[in-house]
Order: sequence, then structure tokens, then C-alpha cells
Amino acid sequence: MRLGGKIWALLPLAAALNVAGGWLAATLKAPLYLDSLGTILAAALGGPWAGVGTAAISNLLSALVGGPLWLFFLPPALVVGFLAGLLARQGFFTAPLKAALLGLILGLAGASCAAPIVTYALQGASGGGTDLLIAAFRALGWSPLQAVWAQSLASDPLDKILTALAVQAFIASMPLSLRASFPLGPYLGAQAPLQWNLRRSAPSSNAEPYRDLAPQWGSFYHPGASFWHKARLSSKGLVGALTLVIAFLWPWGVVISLHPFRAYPLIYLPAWGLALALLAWQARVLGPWLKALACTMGPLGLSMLLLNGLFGPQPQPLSWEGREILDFSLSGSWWALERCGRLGLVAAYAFWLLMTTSNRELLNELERLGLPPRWSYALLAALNFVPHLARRLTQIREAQAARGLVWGRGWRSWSQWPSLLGPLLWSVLGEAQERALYLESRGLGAAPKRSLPPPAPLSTAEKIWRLALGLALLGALLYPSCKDYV
Amino acid sequence: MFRLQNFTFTYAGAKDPALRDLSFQIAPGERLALVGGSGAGKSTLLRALAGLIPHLVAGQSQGRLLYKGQDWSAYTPLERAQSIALVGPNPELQLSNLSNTVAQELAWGLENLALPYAEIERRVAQALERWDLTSLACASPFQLSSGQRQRLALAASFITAPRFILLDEPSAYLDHSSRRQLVTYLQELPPEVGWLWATSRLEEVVDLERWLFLEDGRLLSDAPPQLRSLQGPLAPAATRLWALAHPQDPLPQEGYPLTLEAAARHWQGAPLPVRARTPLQREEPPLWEARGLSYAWGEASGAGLEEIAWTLPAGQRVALVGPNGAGKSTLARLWKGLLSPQAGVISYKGRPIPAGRPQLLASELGLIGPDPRRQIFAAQVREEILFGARQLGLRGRELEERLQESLELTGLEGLALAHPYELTNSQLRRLGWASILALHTPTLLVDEPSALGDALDWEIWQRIEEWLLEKGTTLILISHDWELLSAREAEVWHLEGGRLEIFPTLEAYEPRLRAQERPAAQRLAALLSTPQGQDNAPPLQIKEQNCP
Repeated sequence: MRLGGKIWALLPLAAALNVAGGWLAATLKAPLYLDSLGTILAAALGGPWAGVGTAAISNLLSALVGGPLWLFFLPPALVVGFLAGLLARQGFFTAPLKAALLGLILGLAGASCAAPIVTYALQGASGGGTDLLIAAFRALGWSPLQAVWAQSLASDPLDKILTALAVQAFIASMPLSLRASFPLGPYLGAQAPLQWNLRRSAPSSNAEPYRDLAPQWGSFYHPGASFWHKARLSSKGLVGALTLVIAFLWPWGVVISLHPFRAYPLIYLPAWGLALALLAWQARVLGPWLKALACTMGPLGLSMLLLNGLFGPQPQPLSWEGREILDFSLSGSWWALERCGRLGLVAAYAFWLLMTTSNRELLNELERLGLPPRWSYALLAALNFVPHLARRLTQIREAQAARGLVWGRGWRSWSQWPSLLGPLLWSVLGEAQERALYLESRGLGAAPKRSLPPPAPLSTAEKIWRLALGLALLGALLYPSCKDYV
Repeated sequence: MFRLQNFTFTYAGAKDPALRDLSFQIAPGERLALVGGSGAGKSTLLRALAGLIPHLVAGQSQGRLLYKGQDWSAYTPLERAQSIALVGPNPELQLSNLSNTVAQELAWGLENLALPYAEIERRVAQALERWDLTSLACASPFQLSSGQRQRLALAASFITAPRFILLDEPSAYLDHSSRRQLVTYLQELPPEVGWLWATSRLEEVVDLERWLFLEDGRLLSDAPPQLRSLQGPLAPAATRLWALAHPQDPLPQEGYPLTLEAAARHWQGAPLPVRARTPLQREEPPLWEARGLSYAWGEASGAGLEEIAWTLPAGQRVALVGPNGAGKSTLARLWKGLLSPQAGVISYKGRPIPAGRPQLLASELGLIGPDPRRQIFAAQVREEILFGARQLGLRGRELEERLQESLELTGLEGLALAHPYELTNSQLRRLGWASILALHTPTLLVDEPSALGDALDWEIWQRIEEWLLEKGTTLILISHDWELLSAREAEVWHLEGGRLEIFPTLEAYEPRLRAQERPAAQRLAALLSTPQGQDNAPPLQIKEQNCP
């Protein structure tokens, strides 16, 4: 059970698949998770440890982008990854029916691991569409633990069965040679190419115009020459430390009071958010920064607000034109808003950091922190997987449009996506494998520590910023214990 | 340096070995060629020599592979990376993808080897100059053209100062001057540095003293490249290699043995073969017309296209040539409507075509791209070929006819149900052709049909061109390979520095062409002028035990 060389090509891809699936589920508010597609795929191709590695990388990545909430789901993910790898060795991916059975087993195992965590650590809110199910069960008058269990038993097996089926279909459509190059290749059964049959009408001029898809920049990074682009990562790290202190160490619980120095999350959370927005503006990335934040925090915030508003403590009737229409818990909503605000600050900082720091700087910094070169490369490749996938998708869509495919509007355009997923993944996977060969011959991971460029000297402006940020950090750390004396 | 003893390798999941019972030695500092068609096992052998085979590539190996007398797989990755460089054909896959600039990409490999940073900076500066990348030092690797990116990949591999360099079809995307740069670089390396150039193009390696002929995973011969007495199992391979280098060449008809002198005689004095042109009717409005077409890529990547104009009657053939990064592919993408020009307009039969709607022209204009992997997306050859025909509304028997026709044209019969990624590079390339040919477009843009091609591809491409000629297709051929273009009755469009110069005939372009390198002719002529015992040269040794 060792991690073969090829797995280095697989882990980032699989981890990124998890992250993308998880965010998709969160955005669509589906009562599913979809965040184990990569884990199960990696486990099916590479065995238990590949599953565990993928789960670890992807949950760390999600935690980096989406906040520490994701860390709570690490243990069940590890269990699912390990178990999937063990079962894959028993030939569970050779036929759809077996894969469904495997999904059921994984679902039950994952549910029994996740339910206590959701109940006790998160009080029932995980921020996804599954919350709606919990809410529904709570509405039946069940206790929180019962509701979470019921939701887990409904969602987990379904989610894992669907995921396992998708992985099985994907494996069946993979080229035989590609499959055989993975450690578990011999356990994956015979090839049965899927046929994608797209029948579309002849070109008409009212079709959605094909967008001009110029080559995209390969990462979140927005190149620029602003102060924050040139600043050292340690300076940006001070902003991060300050953000974390404010988001997680400053007083919890909303105190509605007019006293100016009382704990006031609903003032200081947005205030720090505004400060981060100013930093983004200073770095000339305000537009994309706002967009990224809205895309990720918007859905999470709405669902948490709705859930806690409807089922929080001390519900108060809301009336309209003198009639009571709904019981709505004000304190529950405040609670949700506060948590969203804290998570949002972390996400806001993460986007600001990724948009002003190039991959190369991040890579170097991860290695300065002591991460082995292969791991830091895998982590960054995973982070860049989504932009990479977008480039490949552009190529495929171009090729299809050049041969006359008309992308429809609305639902019709969405219905074409599933047919793209298979080719997209196996071509990217094949590429990643071949790239691994060349990068290996260029010395990736050859030396235990790479030599890193010497950092540029600190400018005076940056020294002043560092001093100010350091003092602010000190103040922020002291504030919770001193506030009562002010 | 290397010693192989009965080395056999079978990919995991494959029935037949990719390399069979190979035994040979390579001395330190030796420079040799590895020739063979697509699928002969060249890339596999290079992977084995790079030390990747037991380590990163799954499969079964037998026999021994020794480096400096020790088992190659016993060396550490650091030792391997320090001693060997591997350059591949595909520029997309050799870069780290995490660098913002060309200079950073060059430094990446040296950082992996943990060199002191002052040394890294010195070597990067040197390599930038050496490979003519100084003006691109700050460009993003994502913004380079295929040729520029391949130049970067070459520079990035050589920068580690390896003891031995493995080149796998390194020049597929390079223009003449970059190829010359590569050859000069290789020749000027210190004598203790050896290299192995794997190729299916005879003329690239014609002046090397030792050739390894690989066919179907077997070593057919290991000898100096005297092309005499080519009989027995070598003959078909040689014919194919020959046809590859010179698709229009009458030489194979002279029969065997092929001689070096005959080849040189043919290349040296012979004028470029030009067919008689049938005058085309200049109809009004012309089939294609462009006015004031401009496109800029962005700050760091060069000039872009400036105010380009052309008129193209139906049935005309065009050879679009120019150095790497001149914008040939960009021009093709603008034409197809995949990019929107910043100014200017392209019209078809007098009507301007809307940019960004390539679907509207799907039945009128086909574009075959340089890299088949970019345009292939189906999980079955059949589906890939029929995709476009279906979009055009064909159904039933008509569809099957198109499929059969395209399969036959491209020599892919019997592979209709295969998975595209199971095919060899050559078959994949031909699948790329088939998927566009099935559309029967009256105009066809072909971007670098020769990149990555082998002998069979060239033969087949000839057949396809005949077929296109019969149908009266307007053909625009983009290529670095003047051999491919030389026999065409074509207009020559030369794109350089953002400007398009149009030469009505190949003769008119000839002075321009002569200024460039004609590698095969020059090198063969040089070889012939220094007689090296042509008559007492030993006949080619054929290893009996390795023959089928």
C-alpha cells in the first residue's frame, strides 16, 4: 500500500474535483454533498492511501478558501476514502450494481461518523442544502440529534451511491491504457466506451453567440504592480492573523447595546470586511474580489439565515397587514449572520491573498514553511485545477462550435454539460500523467529542499505597514480581555 | 554511459511489449539518432533511458538497463535529474504551469536541484539570451505560441547542464531558425555531453554517425546511416522514412538500394518541383476577402496582426508560412471566427462574417488544428468523426457513408469503435483530420499538418490532398515545412512582424525561401563533398537475432 509515482498526478486533480463538487452542491442547495467524487475516484484508481490523501488535501483546501468549518468534515472524509480504496481492491468498481452497493456502504459509514460532529459541533448547520432536510425533520418535532441522524441516513447513502455510480461510469469510459497505469488498474474491469449522443438542430442565427474565449490566466492571481502585489507574504500574513483574531477570538454573541465599547460583532465584522475591501481596492482587484466573495458566501449566508431564522430559539411571529404569517426567530438570524460574517472574513482574506500573490510566491512560501516540494506542488496544482479545467473546457467547446454545435439557451445549455464531463476529466487526467513524467525529469522533488530566490529588500512603506499591522494585531489580541475595563 | 541487455518492457494492461529484447550501448558523449515510425517504441525507449520506466510508468520490465555500470533504477531522483534531460514533442506538457514568467519557468528546474541562487540567475540570463527569449522573459508561458513554448521547454531542459540529453521529436513545432538554433546548440555542447535524437524525419539526423532503427519495439539495425543495401526487414521502414522526408520524391521508384549519392543528387541541384497551374477564374465577389484585419495579444507577447488584407478565389491553394509566434495560428482562428478581430472584417461571398459565431460557418470552413488532443473530445472514434456531420443535419445512410469515407481517407479503417486515447500519436492526428474532413467543407484551413507526423501520415496526407483537389476545395496550409509546401501549386503568404506578404507563385517566393535554411539539401551536399569511403563502406549490419 504505497503511493505510486503516478498518484502525484492524480491527487491534485481528485482534490480539486472534491472542492469543485462541494461548492457546486453548496451553490445549488442540493440536499447532497458531492464532495467525495475525487476521493472515491482516487481511491478506486490508487487505493486506500490515495483516497485518504485526497480527502486530506481537499478538506484543507476547502478550509483555506471556505473557512475552518470544513475541517469538521475531515474525519468522515478520511473514513470514506480509506474504505473506498479497500473495497475497490475487491472489484467493487467492475459493474454499476456493485458500485451502488459500495456507495451504500460508504454512505452508512460516513453518516455514522459525520452525524455526531454535525450535531454537537455545528448545532445542525453545515451551510449546505442538506440543512433544509434537517429543518424538515426538526419541523416534524424531532430532537436535533434525531433530525441530523435522519438527514444523514437520507442524504449520505444517496450521495455516495450517486458518486460511486459516476466514478464507475467514468472509469468505464477511460482508455484502457490509462486505467492500467494506475495501481488498482487490474481491479477495474473491462472497457465499455460510453457513447455520447448529442443530437442538436442545425445552426440557426438566434443561437447564443459563442463567446470570445481568449487564453485565460492560469490561476486566481491577478497580475499587477500594486503595493500588495510586491509585498512579502509575511506582511500579508499579518493581515491574515489580524483577520483570524477578529473573526474567531473577538467576543462571540450579539449584544444589542448602545454602549460604544461593548462587543458589537455586527459592527466590527463589517468594519473589518470594509478594511479588507479597501486593501483589495488598493491592490486593484476589488471587482473580481467582490465577485468571488458573492459567489461563495452569498448562498451559504442565505441558507444559514433562513434555517436559523425558521428554527432558531424564541421564534416571534412576523405579521403583515395585521395577520401573522410566519414565526421567525430574530436571535437565530443574528446567530447565523454572525457566523456567516466570521466565515466571510476568512474567505475575504483568502481571496485577497490568492489574487495578489502569484502561484510561484505561494509555492516558495509553502516550502519556506517546510512543506516538501512534491506536496507543495500538488497543493498548488490542485488550487489551479479549476482554471486549468476551464482552459480545457474552452478548447473542447471551441472544437464543438467549429464543427457546428450550437449551444442553447437556459436549460438546453445546461443539459449539454454532463456529456462534456467525461472527456474533460480523462483528457486532463491523461495530460497530468504525461506532465508528471516531464516534470520528474526536470527534477520535481529531486532535492528535499529547493533553492528559493532571495526575498527583495523591505521598502520603507512596507516596514511602516508591518509595524502598524503588528501593533494592530497586538491590540486585537488584548482587546477581548481589556474591553470590560475600557 | 548506457548499456541495455535484453531489455523488454510491457505497459501495464497491454498485451504486447512496447520494447522487445533491446541490447545496445551508448558511450559517454556519443551523439546518435533513434529513428522509427509512430508507434515504433521511440518514446517508450526514451522514457526508459530517462529513468522513468520502473519508477513512474506502470508496467513489466525484463533485462537490464545500466547507467555507468549500475542499475539505472538504483539512482536517486536527484542524480537522475542532474544527469539526464528529456525533451518531448508537446510544448503544453513540459512546463510546470505555476510560473508567471518565462524567466521563472527557466529557474524552476534549477531550484529543484537546489543550486545556489546566484548561479541560477546567471544560468537563466544565459539561457534567455541563448534561446532568443530575452524579449519574452517577462511574458506568461500561457501567452506564448506553440513554437515559442517549445523553445522555452528546450531551454528549460538544457539549463540543468545534463550529461546526456534525450530528444523526442523536439522540432515538431519549431520554425527554421529555431531548429537551426537547436542544432547549433547541440553541436556546440562540450564533447562529454551526448544526446539521442528520436525522430521519424530522416533529414533532421542525416549527419549523425550512428542510427538506431526501431520498428515495432525491436532494434532493426544499429549502424552508420549509409542508405545502401537496404534490403530485408529494413526496406519497408526505410521506404516509409524516405517518403516521410520527401512526399513527392521520385526516389523510391528507382528501387533499392537507395544510395546517399542519389539522394544528395536529387536534393542538391534539383529546382523545386512546381506543377503547372490552371488559371483560376476571378469571380466577383471573391470567395474570401479580408480588409484591415488587426489583432493584438497583449503587452508582453509581440506585435500582433496589423491591417491584414487578402482576397482568395474559390479553388485557390495557399501556403501560409512565417516564423514562430508570427501569428499564423491566430490568423486561422480569426478566420474561423474563434477570435474576434479588434478591427477589420472577413467576408465570405461578399457578406461579412460575424465574429464569435463559428457555428454559422461550420459547413463552409473547416479548421484542422495543430494539436489533435485539443480538438478531440468523444469517447469513441466513430462519435468523434460523426459529431460534426450530425450537427450539419445528416442522418442515417448518409452519415454512415461519411464515416466510411473519412475512415478510408485517413487510413483508420477498423478503428471506428476504438477510444481516441488508445490510438498512437499518428492515428490521433489522422482522427483529427477525419473529424473535419467528414464535414465536406468547400474551404479548409490546416494548421501544421506535419507536426508530429510520421512516414505513413505523409503518404496519407498526399492522398487526402489529391482528394481535396478533385473536389475543388480551397485549401490554406499553414506550415514550417517547405518540403510539404514545395510541390503545391500555391500562393505563398508570408506572415512576419504582423504583416502579410503575398507571393503569387512559389517561384516568386523562392528567393525568400533560399535565404532560409534548407537543411536536408545543405547537409547532404556537405556530406557528399567529403567522400568518406563510399565504396568500401560495409553493408548495413542487420542483427539476425532481432528480426522477426
